[in-house]
Parts: sequence; structure tokens; C-alpha cells
Amino acid sequence: MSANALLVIENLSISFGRGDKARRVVEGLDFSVAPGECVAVVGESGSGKSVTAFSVLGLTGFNGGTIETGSINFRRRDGSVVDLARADERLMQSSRGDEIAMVFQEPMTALNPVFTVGEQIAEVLRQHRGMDRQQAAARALELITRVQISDPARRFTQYPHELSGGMRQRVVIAMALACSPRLLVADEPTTALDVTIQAQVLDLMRDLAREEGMALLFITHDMGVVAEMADRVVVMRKGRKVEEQAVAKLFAQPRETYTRALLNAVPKLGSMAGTVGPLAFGADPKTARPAPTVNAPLLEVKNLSTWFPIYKGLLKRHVGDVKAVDDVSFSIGRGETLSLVGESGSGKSTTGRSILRLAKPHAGQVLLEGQDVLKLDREAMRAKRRDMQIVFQDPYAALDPRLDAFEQIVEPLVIHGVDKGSALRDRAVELVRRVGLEEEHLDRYPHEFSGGQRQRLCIARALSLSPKLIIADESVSALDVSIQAQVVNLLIELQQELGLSYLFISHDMGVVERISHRVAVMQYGRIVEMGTRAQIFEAPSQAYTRALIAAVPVADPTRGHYQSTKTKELIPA
Amino acid sequence: MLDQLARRTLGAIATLGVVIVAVFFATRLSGNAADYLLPPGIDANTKALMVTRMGLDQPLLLQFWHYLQGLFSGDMGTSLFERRPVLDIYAERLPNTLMLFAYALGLAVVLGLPLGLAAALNRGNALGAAISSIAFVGYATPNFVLAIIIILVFSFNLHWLPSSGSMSPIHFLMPSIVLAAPMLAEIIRFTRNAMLDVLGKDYLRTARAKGLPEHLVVGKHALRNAAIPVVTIIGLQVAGMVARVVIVESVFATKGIGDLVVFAAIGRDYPVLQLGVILIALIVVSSSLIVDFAYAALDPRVKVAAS
Repeated sequence: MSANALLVIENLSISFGRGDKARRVVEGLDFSVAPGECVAVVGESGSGKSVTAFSVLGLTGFNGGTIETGSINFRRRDGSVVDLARADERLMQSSRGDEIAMVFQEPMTALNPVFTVGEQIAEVLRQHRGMDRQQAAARALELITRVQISDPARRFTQYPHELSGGMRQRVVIAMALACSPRLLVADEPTTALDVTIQAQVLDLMRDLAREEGMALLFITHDMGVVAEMADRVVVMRKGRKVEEQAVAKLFAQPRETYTRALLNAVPKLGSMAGTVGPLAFGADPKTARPAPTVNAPLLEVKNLSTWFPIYKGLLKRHVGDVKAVDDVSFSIGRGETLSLVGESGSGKSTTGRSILRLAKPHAGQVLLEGQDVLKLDREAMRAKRRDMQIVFQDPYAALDPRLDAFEQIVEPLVIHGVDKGSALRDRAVELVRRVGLEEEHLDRYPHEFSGGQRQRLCIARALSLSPKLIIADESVSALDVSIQAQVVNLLIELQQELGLSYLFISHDMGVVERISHRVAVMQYGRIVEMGTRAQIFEAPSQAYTRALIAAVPVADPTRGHYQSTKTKELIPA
Repeated sequence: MLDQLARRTLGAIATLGVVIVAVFFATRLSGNAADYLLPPGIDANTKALMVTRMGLDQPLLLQFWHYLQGLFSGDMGTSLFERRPVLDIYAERLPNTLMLFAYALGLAVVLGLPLGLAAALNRGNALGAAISSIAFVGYATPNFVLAIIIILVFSFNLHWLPSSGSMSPIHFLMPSIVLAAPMLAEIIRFTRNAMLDVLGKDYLRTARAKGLPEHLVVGKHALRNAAIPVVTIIGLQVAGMVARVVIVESVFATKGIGDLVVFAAIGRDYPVLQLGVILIALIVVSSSLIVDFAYAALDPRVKVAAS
């Protein structure tokens, strides 16, 4: 390997499963990382990017995979070169956490729930540096301070469940930094975090990498994050490298069609300036239409509050409430999309659920065509549900694995006694075609569909009763960008054909800009700002709205790293 | 969390209180003890005299009052049958049962945890399958059948172990094994499943990525999490053991409380039966309380749900 490389991967192939069932998930992969360099590996789900990351840590076997061919040469601190694909487990163990460390996607599950945060960091130091308990604890405390967690002495003794997602990810980073590794492998480290927290964590990782002279192997699906973090980019698809370029070059002149398609599917904030309504990805801006103006709105929410009581003490005294939704008012016109944006815990999902009475509102009115649905009795409410349907975030969890597509779609029709017999089949065929699937798909079970197809099924099911309002609760958040673009396009198209109204709940500002007529920004259970799309995105009046928009990583490396979001403040408890 | 443990403790005390009241009235529902204790054909005067001596002629509520007074002053009355203070009888009998419990519990935990762990780590190979099969057989075999089989093998054929009595620790070996068998099987099964569940968790991947050796990954990070459901099952099994001890004690003629309580129930020996039931309730309630505390100690996330 060349004298200045830190990591060189050559002809790497990894497969999962044995015998006939063996599947190659990485095939003939080559790339290298220089000391102090940040290389991003980008691709959609199933591209083999995470599997590649784990192979560098020598964790392939633990995940059930096998390295079939190739080498992963790594230069250790002492100058010797080891092939991580072939090294024995003892050597791997001494490198992991010491020379090569990893940060994971899910901060919620990456930490052991039964040990304190301090112990989990100190453990690494005892293992690799031979420190005693006291020395390790002292150094762990330094590390917690270093990753900018407020009140480090207290955090040290706390358990993971007492920390927020952003803080937990900082703890994982502190753990990874403990032995000043030469290479940090980060597998989607900010995907599970709110956008403002993401900006802080990315910032932190870049600063630390620079200070430590540490190389970064950054696995992500997010082109915005790539643009802000990477020096060089490896694009992967179905286990193979599609192309490899310096970051500026990749965004300016992608060589491959796949890379171009990937870049086109990324929602770009600000790209909608001047259009009058929602716009499908790849569509001509002139085709955008404003919401039809009808005098009476379809849905009016007035002073809606949903509080969850908190009980404490021996006698379960009622000591207060979590004001998940607090005095929220808005309206949605016919054929209009109102987006509710905000970070996790802002109350946007509870608002959607309260409208459908899936959560019990504490006060307020929800008027659908002038009728207050909160006052309806069970029977009347059941009938009213025909007009209001919901599409959830996770298409894997939202479909019953034991029902085929036909049964899933017609179930609402059967429950409401709308259709019977052969009419059901005709209606189901019409619905699957409408969402871009085929008649033959009706006989398949959920596990036979991809994530995007499942979400189409969920939409078909929501459409079956010809609702007037669809509440889309993070409906495209779990999908790959190219699939996400297709589903957003489908929603826009259905709205134009059927005159549907959407309450579009999302944390993703890029998607929101594309699909909305109007936007409401929520924080701590309240709407802090509401306006047309142009008002919110081009001239936001609230600081919180501006922070939300500024924190979105921009898929444009020429804009330089982090223009406006440099937030050095500590995370509050 | 302290709140919740305090609430649990109060709940346990209240449960015992209910048992103390209920046992008094329930034992008297089955009829008059005098009819059973005294020989048939006895003349009316003698019978009346005996009834007075035993205090059975007093109104029920007065008897209840005496019972409560006795309970709080440590006087549990005299056995109607043996004419000895009930406390003396239990002082003789209880240590045997507690010893049996301790041996059985120790055996089940000491063997069950490592076997369950081995079954999880060897899933899919012969060792794992063998351990799981043994656990299944242990779970499915009725304890009196197992008791008779091991008596036949170890006492009658091999003459290694005494078949009955409670004179020395060696006498407790076979009854402990029989008492432990279903619990051992259950602990193996639960440890295995809990371990398999934990082995797939993200935090074990994190532990490996830190470069921890496998014995720490499994022995520290996995085991501590897997222990949480196992503790629950141990608590439940102690309650089950109370039921099984009756059979085990009669098969092996261990002079314990299981067999005493059964005879007291048949003979309507109220004072003996009352204390027996109270003691059994105490064992069950305190073992579930210990589980609650152990749970809170093992799992920092625990929020003990109100029972």
C-alpha cells in the first residue's frame, strides 16, 4: 500500500448467508482513506455501505457475514500494516476502540441501558490503556466535557435513558474518541437526530477530527451531509462502487447517471422560490397550481389542547401536565396542503392524532366541514372517519404481515360496508393502479414489497374510502431519497386529481417546501409561526424557524462548511 | 423509584393482612373441628367439655379477637391434635422446609444460569439442542414421577442415598433435586431466550466495537441485561415451589411444613393450619418483594408498575 494511505480497501467482497442462500452484498469494492481525510460512502438502503463500515471494524462475522475476497489494509500507529480482512480476532480486538473507533446510527440503542454513561466510556480506557478505575473515570469525565455535554459531572453518573438522543450520540462520540483513534467510522451518525441537533453533532465531529488529526469514514444517505462533511465521496449501489470523486467535482459534474438521479431527488431548500404551489420532483415549475380558493375551509382546528397528566408520589398526586399540544389553531382548505413542521417532541404528531381522536384532546374544537368531530358519539365518529384517513411513517409496521395486499386495501371498505363481492376486487384494482402498482400486486403479502411499494399500499388503503382529508404523519421520512421523491410526486398528483386536503406532518424541511401550500412551525406544543410556503421559507419572522431552516445541510459543497448554524452553546438538560 | 418500592412494600404488608383475616374465617367454613377430632359415639357432656377446652364454644368474632391478640403477642395457640404449642411444632418443621427451599433454589440457579447461557451461545449446534431437550424433559416430567424414579435408582438399586427422612444434609439431596427440576428447566429456558434476545442488541455491537474481549461482551454487557427477566421467573418459581413442596415432602417423608399443613387441613386443626397458611403467604409475598427490589437494582430504567 502507498506510503501515505491510512486505509486501503481492495477488491472487497462480502456475502451473507450460506450455501444456496448466500447473497453478495458488497462486490469488488476499492477505495482508500488518507490520514486526516474525510471520505463519505453514500448510497441508498441495500447499497452495502453499512456492511462496508462494519468490515473495517472486523465486525462482519458477528453480523453473520463473510469476507469472500479482498483486503482491508490499515496502517497502525507503529507504522505496521495489518489486513483487517484476515487479522486474527485478538489483533482486531486490540485495534477496535483504540486505533479504529465507530459511531453508530441509533444513539437510543447503541448504549447499554444498565450501565452509567461514565462507566461505558471509562471501560474503553481500562481495556486499551490499562488505566485503573480512578484514572479512567477522570479521563472519561474530561471526554464528556470535550464533547460539550452540559453538567458533565452529573451526566457521568447518569444512565442512557436519562439523556436525550443528541446527548447520547455525544456520549458515543466520547467513547469513540477515548483512545484518540486514527480512523473514526461513522455509520449514519446523525440520521436519527433532529436537524438542529444534527448540525451541532456534525460540527462537533468535524472539529474533533481536525484537532485530533483523525480520518473519518462517513457513511450516509444524505447528500446534504456529504456536501458539508466530505473531502471525497464514494457512491455505492447494490454492493458496487458507482463512482468516486472529490466532493466538489461530484456535485458539479457527476459522471454516472445513477449519481445524477440521486442528486436530482434531493430536495433543495430554496429551489421552489417563485412557484405558486406544490411541485413534483422533476416537474416544470409552470405546472404548479395554487390551492383552489373555496370560501369555507374543510378543516378548522380551534384552540386544540392535548395534555398528558404527570402523577408523582406515593398517592399518585397529579402534579402537572405535559402540554403536548397547547392551544393550537389552524385551518386547511379543500385541495390544500398544510405542513406541520417541528423537531421531535414539538407536538406535531399528537396534533394529527388528536384530530382523528387517536389521542384524547383536553380542550378545543376540530371542525370538519363545520361539524365538531370531538363531540361526535362512537357511531357518528366511526362514520366520520371515512372522511379523514392517516398514513403513518413506518410502512413496515403499518401493514398486517398476515393479510395480502387486497385484504389490506379493502378492509376499510368492508368495515364501513361500502362495497361487497366482486365490486371490492374492482375497487382494489382501481386503487392499486392509482398509486402506481399493478393488479397482480394484490395477491402478494407485505414482505414481498419494497419500502416504497408498501407506502403506496398504505396510501391506497387510505384512499379506499374516498376521504376528504389525509393526515400524512412523517409518511415519506423512512424512505430512500429516490423513493421519497416518487411518493411525494404521487401525493401531489393525487391531490390535483382528487382535490384531497393534506395535513403533512414532517421534520424534513426540504420535502415540506416541495409539497406545501402553507406551513405551520411547532415548538413545545405551540404553533410559533404559520404562513404561506413563500413566507416561511423566504422570509421567516421567528428566530426558531430561521434556525430550523439554517440547520438543514445543504447539498452544495461550494457553499462551504456551516455558514450560519455555528452553534457553540451547550445542550440544555 | 423509592416511592414505588415503598408502595410495593405497603402492598405486600396489606396482602399479608388480608391473608391473616381470610385464613381465620376460611378454615372455619369447613365445619366444626369437634366433629372430626372426637371419636364417634362420645357422650354429650364430654363433648361439651372438650369443645369448651378448645375454645370452640365462643362466638366466632370473639375467637377472631383472641386469634389476633395471640398473633400479635406471639402466641399462636395450641394444636388441637397434638396438644402442643403451634409455635413449637413449626420451630421443628420450618427449618427443614426452608433448607429444602434453599438447596432447591441454589441448585436451580447455580445450574440453570450457566446452562441457559451455554444453550444460547451454542444455539444451532448439538450442545445447545441437548441442553434445551433436557430442560424440556425436566419441565414436562411430573415431580412425583421424577421422585419415584430417582428413589428407585439411587436408593433401591444403587443404595447411594437414603430414600426418606430429614436427619442429615444428605437426606435433602433427592428431595431438593425433585423440587428444583421444574425450576431449573424454567431458568434454563428463560436464560436462553433472554440471552438470545440480548445478543442481537445494538449495545453489544457497541461493546465489541470498543474492543472489549468476548468474555466481557457476554459476561458483563449481555448477562446483566439478560438477568432482568430471569429474576422475575425465579420469583414466580418460588411461589410454585410452595405448591410442589407438599408432594415432595410426603414422598420423601421430610418433616417439613408442607406435609404438616395438608394434615392440619384434613384434620381441621385450625391453629396449625392458620400459621401454616400465614407462613406460606409470607414466603410468597416476600419473594415477590425481593424480586421487585432486585429488579430495581438491576435495571435503572425500572418503574415498578402498581400491582
